Amino acid sequence: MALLPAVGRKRGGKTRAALYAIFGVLWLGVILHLFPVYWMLVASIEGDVQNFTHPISFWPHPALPQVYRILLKGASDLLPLPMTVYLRNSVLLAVGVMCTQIPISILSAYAISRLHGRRWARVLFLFIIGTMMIPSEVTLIPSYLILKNFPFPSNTQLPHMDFLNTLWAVILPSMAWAWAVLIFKGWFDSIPRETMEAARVDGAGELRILWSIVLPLSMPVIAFIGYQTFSSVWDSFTWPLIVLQNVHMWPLSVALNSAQSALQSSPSGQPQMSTGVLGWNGVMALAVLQSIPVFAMFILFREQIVRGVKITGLNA
Amino acid sequence: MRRAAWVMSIPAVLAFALFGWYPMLMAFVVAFQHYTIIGAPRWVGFQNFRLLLHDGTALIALRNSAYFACLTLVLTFWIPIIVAILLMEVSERARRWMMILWFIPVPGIASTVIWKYFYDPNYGLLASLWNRLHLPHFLWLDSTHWAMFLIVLPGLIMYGPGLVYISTLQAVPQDLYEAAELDGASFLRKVFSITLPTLRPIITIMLLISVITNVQVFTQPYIMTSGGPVYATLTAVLYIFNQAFHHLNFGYADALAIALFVILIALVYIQRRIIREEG
Repeated sequence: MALLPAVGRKRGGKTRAALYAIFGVLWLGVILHLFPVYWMLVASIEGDVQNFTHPISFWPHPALPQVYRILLKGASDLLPLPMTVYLRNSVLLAVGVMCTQIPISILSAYAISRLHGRRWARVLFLFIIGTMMIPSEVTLIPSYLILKNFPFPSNTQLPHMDFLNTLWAVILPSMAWAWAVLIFKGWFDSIPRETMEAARVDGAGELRILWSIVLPLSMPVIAFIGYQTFSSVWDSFTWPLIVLQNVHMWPLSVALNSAQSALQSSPSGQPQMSTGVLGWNGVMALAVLQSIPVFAMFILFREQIVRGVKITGLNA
Repeated sequence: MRRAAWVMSIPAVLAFALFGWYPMLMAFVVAFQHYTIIGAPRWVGFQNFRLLLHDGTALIALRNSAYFACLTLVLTFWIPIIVAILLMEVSERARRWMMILWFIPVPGIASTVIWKYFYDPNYGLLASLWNRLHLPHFLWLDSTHWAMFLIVLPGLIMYGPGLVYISTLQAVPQDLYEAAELDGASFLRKVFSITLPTLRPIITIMLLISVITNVQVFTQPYIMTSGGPVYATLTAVLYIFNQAFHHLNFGYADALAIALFVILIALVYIQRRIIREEG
């Protein structure tokens, strides 16, 4: 209550009306915000063809199992493979990136914050932060060429590895995320030195100190960065689209786009449940699958996210 | 201790060298090469950049990106700020839940696809409402005039990031408002004299981030229209993508990316200058 009068006598009917108005606006916004989500859910279980030609009916005519069953079986008109394949790829990517990027960031941030001499700490920090200067679209093409002929930038007779169409093509470049190092370093800097000195005097090794003293203190930040990493990998589209052109390697985001563009090009466009042809209902089912983990993570980690925003001073 | 420090740093040094700096430096090499799918890349000096100057499509793409960024700024940038200010008025408990509901993120790809469904002229919700109301014939995403606007429109209710404004406002001491009130300050007066000045630094940063990310927009136009109709929604990064991965002109596409980068730097520089003059 900052802007509305809060002090003594002024608190009257006018203030109350203002408060109701504010609530009204806020609820309206929430409803608008969540309506597309509702529509997505409804459409994903929609089995009635009529509802696609006259989509004014806001209540579904559920055919829940059918839509998802067709997607599970695969080889629908929307997607060539069962949706579990794409789900698995997305999960593998998220796990793969989180298991490499977060430890790498924590270790280097701790070393820079606490272990290196001042000069090397500075050099390393700039070395890492320097990669934030250039926007992703500049490194898009060279990264693609390098991953194709790793570690060379162009076709070569020398021994090389082609990472394209493997999940490594997404995981490897994600290991270098300067933002995570920046946040972790800032956090480690704020932990008082005395906390670690005691353990060091007792003869604990640096890894041991990091593991049993620093990490437990850092859980909120790790949760925050973990959430950010997860949602950015899960939602990543452009890069997987480029490096994972093999249908078997697509994550959900790419599969979802492919499904909707298949719908655009199909001549009938008319969903007919009986013959195993899906329309927008199938696309929306994939969108539900794509959204649920992000919602769940956001609700699960809301406290950490709010705190993380405070710590970093920037947004989720 | 030094050894431990280096052991811990080496994975990061390797990762940032190989996947951070190496592609970054190669970007400036490839831009000066004739690099296509056939044959070895060869040096061509500034030829890619010279081509770029005579490429009308590139200019259109750049203009579209600027248009997208401006539209997003005008239509959607201010919404989270106002919401944050309003959220501070409700009770602590209500705020906590409202905050979650307001800023719960819908994954970008999913939300873009949902909106494409809304716009579908045959089965879409909006198109169907439109026809019910017997409004004049409308082409939706096939309309050269409106396609870009329709791509930006979802931002109105899908909301950008806003938690940061609330967390900034929560740090403002309440006595400030109470003191202002005792002096007889009105609602709007308090907004303009206390709230907005507090938010100013963060608004500046968010503005910069918004402009930079929106000039580089790719997914929304790619999914919704693939740049069509004609070139109406072809943005700069979409054009770069097409040049690189459809026409396989890696060298030329990379030169385009570098040119866009230079433009972005100029933008940031100008924005900094304006801010410094004001502040």
